[in-house]
Amino acid sequence: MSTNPTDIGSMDLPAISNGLRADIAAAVPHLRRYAHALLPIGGGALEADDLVQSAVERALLRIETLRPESNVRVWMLAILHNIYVDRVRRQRREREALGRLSDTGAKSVPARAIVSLQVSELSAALTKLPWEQKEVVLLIGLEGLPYVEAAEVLGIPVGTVRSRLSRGREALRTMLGSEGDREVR
Amino acid sequence: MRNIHIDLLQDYVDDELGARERLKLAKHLGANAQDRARVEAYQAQRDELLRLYNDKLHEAIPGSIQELIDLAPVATQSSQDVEGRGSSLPARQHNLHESDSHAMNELVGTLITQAVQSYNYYAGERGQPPLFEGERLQEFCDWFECQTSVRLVTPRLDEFGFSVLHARLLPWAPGAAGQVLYRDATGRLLATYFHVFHRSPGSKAPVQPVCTEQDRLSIYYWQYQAVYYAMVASMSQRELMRIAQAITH
Repeated sequence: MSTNPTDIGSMDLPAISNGLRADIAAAVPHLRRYAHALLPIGGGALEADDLVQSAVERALLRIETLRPESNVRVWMLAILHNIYVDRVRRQRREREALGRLSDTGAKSVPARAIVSLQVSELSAALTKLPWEQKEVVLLIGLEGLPYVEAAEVLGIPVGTVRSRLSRGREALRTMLGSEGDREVR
Repeated sequence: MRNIHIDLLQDYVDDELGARERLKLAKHLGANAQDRARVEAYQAQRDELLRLYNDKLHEAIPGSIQELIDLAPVATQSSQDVEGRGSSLPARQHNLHESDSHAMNELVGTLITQAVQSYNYYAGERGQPPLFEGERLQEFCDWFECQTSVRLVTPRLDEFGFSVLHARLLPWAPGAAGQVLYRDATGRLLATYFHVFHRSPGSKAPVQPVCTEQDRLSIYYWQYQAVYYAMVASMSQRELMRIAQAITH
């Protein structure tokens, strides 16, 4: 999933104010936390940072799209989300293409070596969530965004945020073996 | 009905309820063990997420990403106005410690500490007699060049109402550092601090000019070739930036 490394020195970036530069730098740790939680276990820190670097690069190149009233962190999370979704869809297409090749008897591509990892139950459960639900769970549960800002990041209505969050959390609760009556009066 | 109810529990967990609704739901949770268990499960998920991933907030930004951020040129006031961002995104005040953890490398952090300590040292009028004063400033610059092979051009800040008070060399293990102190008619002090970086900066990107403010003390720091500079003064960030940018330009 790693992209070709950008030749940073050759980039022609627009000028930014020092205040905005500091805001972008302050947002990066949050982007990294989110990206590391978002990517599958074993995906590797490099891929998470690659995703963040792509987001920072795109943010700097499209700085003119940042509205004055915008929260820089939310704006950058939205950029990261778009890049992530593009990659997920591209991977899905590649998997489908590989599946077709396998069906025709072509030599299969070796799977990524399975790495033995000590992971928490929650990390393991997160990987089983649909990515749409995982994003909402992480944006709200980990990044602490209000529903409105999570909706802004994902480009979906607040109602959809609520329903994805509800399904995601309930799925996690089930996978983590929470006891309790699911009946709600 | 089920979804609405779960949504309310989520709103409670995520602090999306108004005070009155929150109180009402808290009472409900006190009487309903099943819903309380569900809320506790959601809260446990959130706590576990933070436990698992919060360390990322405290890690240094990877070099390639920091380099990218540093690469964007600094917008001058005029270019910001043309782009319509300067006036709509005014310079913000930044917490020094937050900046330190997120944006400064170790060297710049040390430089700022030194600059602030020097400023406080002189502002408290507890200093030793300065090495050079007034007309002897040129002598100081000559001596500094002799010691470090770096030619200092001490900026004159007359147009901003500041005159040179004195200058001195500061002890600095890995290189040479010095300070020029200015004072205006109202008694405000402005310290310019410089540090010659003896080691090769190597692959480190130049430190872009940064202005920050804390507790009414503003600091502007930048790098030019092998010398790091910082200006410290008890004035607004905007005023100090105006002076510093006049010097750097």
